[in-house]
Amino acid sequence: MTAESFEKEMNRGFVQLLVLLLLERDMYGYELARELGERGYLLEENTLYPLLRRLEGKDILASRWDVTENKPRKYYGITPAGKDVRAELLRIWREQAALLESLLGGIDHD
Amino acid sequence: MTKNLENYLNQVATYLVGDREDIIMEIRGHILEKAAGPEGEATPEAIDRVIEELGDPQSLASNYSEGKDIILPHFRNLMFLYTGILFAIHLGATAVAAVTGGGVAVFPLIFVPELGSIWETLFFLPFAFIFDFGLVSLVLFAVSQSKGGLKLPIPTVDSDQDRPSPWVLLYMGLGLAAVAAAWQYAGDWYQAGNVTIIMPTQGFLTIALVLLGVAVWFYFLKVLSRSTFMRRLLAVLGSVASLAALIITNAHLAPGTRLVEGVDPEHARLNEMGFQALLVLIAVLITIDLVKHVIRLFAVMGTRRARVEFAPADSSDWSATILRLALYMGLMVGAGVFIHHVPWLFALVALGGLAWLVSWHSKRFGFRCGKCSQEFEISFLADLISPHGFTKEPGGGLVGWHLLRCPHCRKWSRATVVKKLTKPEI
Repeated sequence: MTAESFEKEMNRGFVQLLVLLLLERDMYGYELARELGERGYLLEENTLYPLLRRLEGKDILASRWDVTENKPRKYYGITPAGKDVRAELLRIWREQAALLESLLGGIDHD
Repeated sequence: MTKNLENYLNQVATYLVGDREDIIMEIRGHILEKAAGPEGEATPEAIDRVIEELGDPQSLASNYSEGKDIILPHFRNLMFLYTGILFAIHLGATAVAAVTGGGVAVFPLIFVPELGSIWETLFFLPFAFIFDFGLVSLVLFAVSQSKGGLKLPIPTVDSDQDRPSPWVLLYMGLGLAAVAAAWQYAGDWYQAGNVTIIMPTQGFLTIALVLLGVAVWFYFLKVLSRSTFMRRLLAVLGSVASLAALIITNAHLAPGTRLVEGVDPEHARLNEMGFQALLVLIAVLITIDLVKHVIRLFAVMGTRRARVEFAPADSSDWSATILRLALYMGLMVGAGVFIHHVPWLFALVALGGLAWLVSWHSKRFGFRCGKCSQEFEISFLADLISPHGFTKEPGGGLVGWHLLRCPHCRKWSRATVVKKLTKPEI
């Protein structure tokens, strides 16, 4: 397995958490990708859009089309069920981060 | 709108599952908005650039299908197992159809039409296989799509017939000889007091001889095989060959050989019915055996053979080798005295004995490369045809060698004999 595929594996859950945190207010896909890019995290669109669909399919996100302008946009927002999932994911992430820190504490870094 | 954009979206749509219109609309919006950038106008060049960033249409569409498998990946083995079982039954039904001359139907899974010739049978079987594979796929598709998490049955059978014995081979050989001997009395009948003894017809004996011949041949190959997988594969192939032999032999029986000679028409009809019933019974029994062999084969597929350890050969290995050589020499002398006037039988005994000897040797011993000192196993064939001899060890004792190419260093050398410590079984 290459470093790139390891990164992809690790990012799976992390990206979901990022999306759930950002969608506290409704955003459309391109806006979400741009927001993440501005914060220094480059997320490929061919990963982002399918992810939004999957989360919507699980009722974690809700969507609506905005066709008031000449550019139709699909806005996504987090649902109450999504907020519960986000809280759970954050708890897991904090526990994992704490475990990692405790493990790395004894290792002499290069 | 550029032509490239429409082409790209069409290609993505081809591979999409689910709400295609909605997904395509969203991707289109994304491409146009990103291509427009801060300037607010999407040029064809900018659109092409965004399309390039999105990547291969099939790959993009496949990201939307994640978790939407047509058939769940963990059903793969079951798919082949179920297809194997169903096709085995189809094969058996084909044999029954061939020997009765009519069609066979076991509603709703098995159907074999009336097959006029061997060629029709041969052409029918691929269709049967595709039907079986399709039917199993359909069932697994339905189960994969069901939300209830249905559990599928996994058939199992005992596997105590894995270790073939040379003694069984001998008994089978004697049975074959008995049937061959009965041949000359085929269809005769004798009156012994009040009891009438009717010998089987020549047609029946022909089929018995062919089926026994196939069984002996495959059992012999099983005796020579080293791995459980190979033995189980041979068991499957043996049953398939038996069914094929039954179909072909039945189709080529000489006219009049199926009946007992001299019986009246009414009895001849009963005789034919009895003959067919017997062949149907044989076909059913072979099919049951085939299904069991298929299940056994799938139980060991994908497993690996245990790692084999080696040690220097000692005096017990020499004794065992000399004993077997002496037995073989005794067999040859006996064959020379008693059956020298039947050359084909003499050759059969000589070759069978040699195969037994070499098979035993290749199972019991490995070899140590003369160049890199790595140890390795060799096949029955390599053991049979590689030049070999003896040489003196530095300590003064004798050691056997074979001229072999080492699988590790790829060099030819006189590889010395070592014995295997663990059995090469799964």
